[in-house]
Amino acid sequence: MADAPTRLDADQLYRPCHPGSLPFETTAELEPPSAPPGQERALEALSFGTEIGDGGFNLYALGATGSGKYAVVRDFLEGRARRDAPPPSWAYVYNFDDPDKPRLLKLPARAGRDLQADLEHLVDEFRTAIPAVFESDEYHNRIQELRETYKRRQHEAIAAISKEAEERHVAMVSTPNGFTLGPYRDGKILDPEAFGKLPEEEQKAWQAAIDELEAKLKQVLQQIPKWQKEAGERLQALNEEMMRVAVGQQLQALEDRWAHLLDVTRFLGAIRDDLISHVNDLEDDSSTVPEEILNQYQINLIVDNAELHGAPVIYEDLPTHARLIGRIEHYFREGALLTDFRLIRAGALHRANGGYLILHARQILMQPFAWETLKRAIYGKQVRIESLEQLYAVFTTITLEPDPIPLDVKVVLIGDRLLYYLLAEYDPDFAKLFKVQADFEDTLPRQAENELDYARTLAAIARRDRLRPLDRGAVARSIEHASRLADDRDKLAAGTRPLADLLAEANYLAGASHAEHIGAHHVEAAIRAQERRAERLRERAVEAILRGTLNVPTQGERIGAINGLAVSELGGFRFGLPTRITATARPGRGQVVDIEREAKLGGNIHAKAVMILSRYLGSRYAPDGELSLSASLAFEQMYGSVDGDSASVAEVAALVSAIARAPIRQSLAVTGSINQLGEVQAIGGVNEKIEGFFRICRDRGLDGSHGVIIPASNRPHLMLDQAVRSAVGAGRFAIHAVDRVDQALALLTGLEPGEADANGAFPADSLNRRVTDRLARFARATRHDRDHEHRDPDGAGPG
Amino acid sequence: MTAPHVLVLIDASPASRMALASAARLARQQHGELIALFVEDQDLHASAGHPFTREISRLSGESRPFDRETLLTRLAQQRHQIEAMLSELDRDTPLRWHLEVVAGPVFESVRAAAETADWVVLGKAGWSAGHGARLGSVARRLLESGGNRLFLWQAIDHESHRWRGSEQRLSRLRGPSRPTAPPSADQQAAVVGLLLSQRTAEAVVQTAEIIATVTDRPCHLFLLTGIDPATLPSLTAWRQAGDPPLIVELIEAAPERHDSSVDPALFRNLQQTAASVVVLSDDAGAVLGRPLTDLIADIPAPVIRVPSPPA
Repeated sequence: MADAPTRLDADQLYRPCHPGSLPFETTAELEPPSAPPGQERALEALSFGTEIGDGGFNLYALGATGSGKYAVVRDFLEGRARRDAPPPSWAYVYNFDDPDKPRLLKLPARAGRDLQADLEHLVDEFRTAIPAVFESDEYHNRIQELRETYKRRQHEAIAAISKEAEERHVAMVSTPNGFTLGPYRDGKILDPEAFGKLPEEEQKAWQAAIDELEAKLKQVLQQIPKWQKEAGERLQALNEEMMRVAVGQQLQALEDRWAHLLDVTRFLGAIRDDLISHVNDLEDDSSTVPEEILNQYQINLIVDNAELHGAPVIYEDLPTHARLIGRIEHYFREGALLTDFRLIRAGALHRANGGYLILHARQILMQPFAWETLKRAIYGKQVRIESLEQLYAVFTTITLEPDPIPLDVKVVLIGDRLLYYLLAEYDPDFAKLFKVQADFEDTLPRQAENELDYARTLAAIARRDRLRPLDRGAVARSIEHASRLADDRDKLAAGTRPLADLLAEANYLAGASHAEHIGAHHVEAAIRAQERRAERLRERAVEAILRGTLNVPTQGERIGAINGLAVSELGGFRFGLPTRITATARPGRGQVVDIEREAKLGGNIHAKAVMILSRYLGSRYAPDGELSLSASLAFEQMYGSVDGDSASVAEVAALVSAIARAPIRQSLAVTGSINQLGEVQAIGGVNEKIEGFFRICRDRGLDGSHGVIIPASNRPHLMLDQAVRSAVGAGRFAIHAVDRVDQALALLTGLEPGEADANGAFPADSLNRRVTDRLARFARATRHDRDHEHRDPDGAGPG
Repeated sequence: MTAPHVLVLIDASPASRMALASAARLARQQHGELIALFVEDQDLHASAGHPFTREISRLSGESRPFDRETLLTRLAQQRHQIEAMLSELDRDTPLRWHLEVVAGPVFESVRAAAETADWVVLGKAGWSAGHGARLGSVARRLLESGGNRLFLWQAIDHESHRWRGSEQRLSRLRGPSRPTAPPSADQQAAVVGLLLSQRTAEAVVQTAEIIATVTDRPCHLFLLTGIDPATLPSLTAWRQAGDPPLIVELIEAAPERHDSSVDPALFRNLQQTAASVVVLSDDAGAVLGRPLTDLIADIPAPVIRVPSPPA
């Protein structure tokens, strides 16, 4: 004989938290917990991942959505970062050798803004010091001397020729374009007639003199460009000397101040050289250096870590390609997009360099190219600012190729488990780059010390979200609710977001009633309000059942029909409802037809469950022979997909009822899965299922016959609603815990299932005997049909 | 009293164009007549007749044939351009003018024309001055010959102010063929008068006032210590009238110099005052211990030489 099922008492349906057990009045007295309770494994992983050096030991914090991973990770990293020294600041400066490739300056954390200020000051000084020198008397006098020297040299050279010409009676006459030479006598040039009358010897002598003077004049005139060049060089040297005077002192002072940083002194040296090279580009009217040149002497401090007191912890909430690795902005001028080193903008990787970067895995995977960008940066250990247009050559414009920044960062991805396992499965880089998984528990054990830690967590939430303190009653009710959320009386849901939302609502209610603290009734009201807002669909479904639109009888008996229990979850709200399961049985060849499966509405798990129960029926009722059964199972009035194995016990009961023609009590609903041996196994959502059936029965009127059969192994999960507990306490509703299918069958049919004797025969009048007797009839009918077929292989009947 | 004559020696060069504009303004203010003199140099005619004459380029030093045909073509072009320039003068404001074209020796032709002129305007740097702002031979000889008020016009030499690199910048921005900047670029530059001797100071003040009025500019007079301003009636009257604006500044006598360069203190004063024109008397060279022609050649601005009054 099977063991009797256990009818549970009201106090077995709920684990209360007694406010008196909590050693405080309100959460205002409580300090936040030193570490999030129950997350030792994840914290250990975080600790390991942040302390181990390079080599792909980045982290993935995985856990259920809303479990508070981000807050825990952030708190942990901030604590860890405080122990580190602030990383360097980074700046880009103009590259005087190749303006398209801005140079990188690595600076001590606090030095960046000092250098920036120094250079701004330097440029300001240039604005006054350079004009002062180039407008000075000395400069003008020296220019004048230079000009005079140059002019005198030309003048004297030409005057010498002119003097020699005069001595040789040759006139040198200016023309608009140059000079001509002619024979000169008596204060004027001889005209051709007079010249022609001269003796031939004299004419030749004069012509020779003119030719000679012309050659000398040519020589002098051809020297003039060289003298001009020489004068230009001397002028350039003077200008450069003046520029050195103008800027030398300030630059030298800065070079001394920054002597410990070679890159900075190199840059200052480059400024000096550049200024000198631009000495001819000073503004005409003011002798100032044009602003576009002065702009090149400043720095673009893209990462300023001066204010940091440790390593940076950066969270990027929109991890696009550009926001990760930075971008180069452009400005529009005269129809062209232009840029310069001052328009380089840092990305999250720049800001997190030397510290920690937190990203939500789902968000980075949703941004085009961002995931590949992140991996490339981690792999290459450097951040190279490249736009997508550059990378994929979509279109080109004038842009820059800044030096890449060496990258030393720990990336912590936060995401759910599914994403983690998918990435691990399908992205070979993932395992190499994210070697540390910080797996967050969804629940934590409900023990006295954990309850106090949980209270501290609630206190921290209240403080963080600026809520009223919770009194101990509110804490106790919240703890009970956390157990319910965990679907386990011995556990607490580890996720903080649902609790934070609940407390926010309770705080609102407390405020509306001018309460100083959040009380238990505020928490309770908030729970009810949350349910009420979400339960429209449940109400419609309950209404359909109560009106008979959905056929779920809760009175009387039926053959081959039973109330199963299902859980629906929509928008985070879970509720249970009864579902009608029916079965038929007729002679056949050991087939149980899953109508849901045939209609392609059944899932794989359900299909497996039906196979298991088929094998159970076969081994239970035809261990030594063929199960001559053709049965079918269906979820009535279910138009969506069906999955899971929690209806197995109900399906077996419906089949047994159909085979044995034993009616089933409709006042009971059943949930539970079975194995091939007929043992009942735990299912999920037990609380919602019980409450769902209870609601229907209560609305139709409880008469003490109503109840739910659940797996005994689900007893620790019971955290039932007060209404259910009250009805159970009053004996108007029953919850039966069963270990074996036979226990459920006994409750459902009112018949003793009976145990088989040594020959495999069940006692007379037992339920199982009725099953085997009917199956035997099926077998005979099947054999008869088979014999008939054998005699008439063509299938042609008599007649 | 007959209307004053303003004689301007002219060719077709841009500098000549500017000198003509100044001369025209002076003639208008004086209600006088402008006489534009274009001299066809007889030496050039004679030189161009020789079969062996060549013209040597000032820029390249290369020589090319220079004959009468070339010369006559050039002269015809120049006359045509000069006539066009003169026609422009009285287009808006009436001005009496006439063009005299003479062939002969340049200096003698100019001196002959200048005999009846009250003002003579010509470029400081003539053709024979070679490169740079040396004083042209005609200007030099006219200075030495005394006579009328001589206005030696000179394009403002931007190089002297900004020689540092403006040429490269301008050529890059505007192309290599940038025209000469007009002399009136700095409209507020003052008329500067150098009162260096008691005997000539009054004449310098009178001329400076005329020029300041003509050009609508302030005037800055440098008065050598030792000259009593109370003895200058024109200065007293000007001060009382207060227009054009006038500044009188005392300067110390410069120490005697042994080189030929301009007195640095005077030069700096002229630069700092941004002189639009400098008025001095023909004894200025003697007072400052330098040949007048050298002094004038070194002043980086137009100069008006005022003759000393008869003793």
